[in-house]
Amino acid sequence: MKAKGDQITMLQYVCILVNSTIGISVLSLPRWGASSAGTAGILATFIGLILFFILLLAIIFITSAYPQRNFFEITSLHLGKTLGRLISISFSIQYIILTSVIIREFTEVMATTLLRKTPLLVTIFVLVLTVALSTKKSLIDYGYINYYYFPFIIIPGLLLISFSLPNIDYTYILPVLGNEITLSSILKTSTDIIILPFFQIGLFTLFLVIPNMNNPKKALKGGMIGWMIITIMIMLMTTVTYAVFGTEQIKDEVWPVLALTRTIRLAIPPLQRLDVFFILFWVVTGFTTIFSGYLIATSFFAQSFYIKHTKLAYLFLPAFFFMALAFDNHVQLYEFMQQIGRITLLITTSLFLILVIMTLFKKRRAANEIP
Amino acid sequence: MARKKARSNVKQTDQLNTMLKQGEREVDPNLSININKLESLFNGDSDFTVRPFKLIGKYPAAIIYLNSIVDKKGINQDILKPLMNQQSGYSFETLNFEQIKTVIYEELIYQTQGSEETKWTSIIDHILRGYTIVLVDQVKLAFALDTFDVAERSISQPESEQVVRGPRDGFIESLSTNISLIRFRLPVSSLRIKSLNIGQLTQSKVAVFYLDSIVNPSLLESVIDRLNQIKTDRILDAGYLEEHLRDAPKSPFPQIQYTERPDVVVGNLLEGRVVIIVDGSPFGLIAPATITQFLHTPEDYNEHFLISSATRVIRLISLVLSLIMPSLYLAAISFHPELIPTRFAIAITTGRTGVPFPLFLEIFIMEIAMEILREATIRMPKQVGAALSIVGVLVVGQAAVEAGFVSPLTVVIIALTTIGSFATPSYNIAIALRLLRFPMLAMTTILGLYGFMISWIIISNHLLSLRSFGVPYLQPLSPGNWNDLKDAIIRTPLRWLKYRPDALNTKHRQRLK
Repeated sequence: MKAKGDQITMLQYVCILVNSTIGISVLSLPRWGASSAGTAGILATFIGLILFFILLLAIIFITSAYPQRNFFEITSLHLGKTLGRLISISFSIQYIILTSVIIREFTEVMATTLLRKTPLLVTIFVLVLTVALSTKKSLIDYGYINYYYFPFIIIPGLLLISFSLPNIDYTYILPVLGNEITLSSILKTSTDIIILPFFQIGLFTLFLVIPNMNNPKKALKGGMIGWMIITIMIMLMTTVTYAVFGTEQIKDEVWPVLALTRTIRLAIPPLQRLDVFFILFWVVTGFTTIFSGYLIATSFFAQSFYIKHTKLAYLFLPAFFFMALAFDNHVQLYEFMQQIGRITLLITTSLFLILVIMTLFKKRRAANEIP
Repeated sequence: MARKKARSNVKQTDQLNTMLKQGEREVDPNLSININKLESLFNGDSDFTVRPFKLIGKYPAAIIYLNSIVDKKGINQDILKPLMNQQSGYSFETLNFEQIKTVIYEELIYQTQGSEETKWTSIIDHILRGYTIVLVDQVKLAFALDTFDVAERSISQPESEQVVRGPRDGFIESLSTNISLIRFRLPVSSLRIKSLNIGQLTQSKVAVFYLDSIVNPSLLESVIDRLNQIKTDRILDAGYLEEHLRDAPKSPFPQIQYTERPDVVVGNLLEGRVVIIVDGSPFGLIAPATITQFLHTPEDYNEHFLISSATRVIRLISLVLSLIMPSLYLAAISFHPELIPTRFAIAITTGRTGVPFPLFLEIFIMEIAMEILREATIRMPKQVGAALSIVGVLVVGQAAVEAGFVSPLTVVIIALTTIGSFATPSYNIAIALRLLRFPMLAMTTILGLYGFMISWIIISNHLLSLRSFGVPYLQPLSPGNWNDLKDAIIRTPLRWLKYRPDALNTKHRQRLK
């Protein structure tokens, strides 16, 4: 029987966007702003999110001009099939790298919190295998999976924020504009934040989802709702972390939000600590982001050869696995994350610029052709 | 034994085939040739009976039937008596073939159901199904009359789905009785029963029930389609069909609901589902089925909605706990003792002193012991079962703890888990989760809470990708549906349930016109 809703609904699309964007990197997010802009880091994060929104709008504009066409089809429509294929494959490689970075970050968090003695090799392999297993499923299931995990991501986040409220000291977030901060330095901090791989994964999920939506006209509305939820969650978490620790302490923490979970004192007998439970839910958060990244990498590759992404699920596994193993420690990982993020964001924005201009050009020409 | 029977059946079909090959597919006018043919086919079968007689005292004729599955009283009264009655005064010499046929069928035999058969294959099929065949000399035709009668048990309370408040009747093995139980509750003309024969050798009668005015045609089509595609020699129970009908045969989760209760069947028919009943099985299959359906009982609609909602939530909790409890316990004690307050941790450690196994082994041993106990009590006769459970409780519980074999907390956890799995109304989903508890426990043993979460994600993703006849298995939780949520985890007041489930895509969404 052909069931109702064989396509992704707007709510599922919102969930995909939120789940993919709010990832394990949120744990380290306040550190980036605090270390380079001090208390202005909060503002910088917000500006970063606005930049994110602009990129989001660009994708919605590009895809909604050609509904039901995937990334490869759109690029090859504008730039020719050969170049389109080249771009798709290079983006597939780019997302293998970005996702592997997140996989490594995720397992580093696991190694410091849950599994102190287990070799990273094992944790990474188990995670990659789980994600590959999920990638064997269809894109519709991808929508269902994200819809299902949405509360698992949002509710613990909100609980964390509300439990931390008693520890807040408002003086820690003042002055909002920071000390001796110029516009260019704030913008630089904002780009430092927006280049974190999870933002880019969140962005590119739209290329997978919008062509398969039951009502692509709602892409803009869904994108706005999704962006609002992301902004509220990230801003709340960042602000609360700043307000609890202050910028100086945040700089010393690798994962400030993780430290935040340890400060919570809410003894529910027979449990005396809650941080482990938050970590449990971060596993889900990390999983959804990594799943999206894996799906983007396999789908873009598969699209350019007109095959289904499910066929590549296990084939891509070694690439992610060895790439994630390639780093020595988290210091090196974060350095690499900054460099690769900067490059990929540059590539992404320039491609978007070209595509937006081409779309505008074609739209105008199409408008002229109709008498 | 079953194989032997099947083999003899094959032999019989072979014989029939060779016979048919010789160009003798139809009834011969000569009675003795016909009888010889049948006797050679049922050679040595003590059940097979040929009773020759004189039709209205003049013409040679015979009735043929299988002794054990016919209603002999009925044959005597309604077939033999009128046919042998010499007072009827007919004279067949003056009548032609058509007229003789009409006289016998329309004026002599007192039987509601019958047909005229000329083909041997169909005649043999009828004999095997408890029909009585009437053959008359010089008439190139056989009358097949329904005289089927086997011993049935009386309608009793369903063993597997007991209710405190609700009807006490359950299905039995006879399909026609089951149909009558459904018809009695659903006196509407749009109730359709489609009959199929499945199984090359058993030729089991399978009835598909649906409400023509409600059911989604594509659902019905796919049910019939899947039934027709079944290639097997036997269908002995509804479970055989279920395995063939599943969307994902490898999944441990049940994708079709079963029930012994006619009221459940009627309720599901009214919502737009399709019900399949096999002759010889007291279970009806309900398709499609989603996970929340397995938490429902017919009582839910009898009790107040608040009480029903609360019990449904309790059932869900017990179902989830039966899956995760041992793993969480293991993870908390072995991997994250910092979670537990010191005072409590000391108590646990004291309880564990002298236990010779590491915790994971202790849990595994207890779990397996519990499964053995459960399996033993199901198979035992009732009287022995009670004794067994006492022994089980004493040995596994009290004595094991006192001997220092297991810690008291482990016993508590395992007992809660087992009871939790019994609190679920549907045995099949409880058993699926009980099975999955073991891989989850293994993952937790290796990777702690991380392994626990990974296995939770894998199980969830599997459930999310499951479909039952195209309906997402976790509907209405994901994909979400507001209308269907009203009767899923909780039950809202009946007056709120104005629409049939959206997931089923029925012809008329509104329950009332």
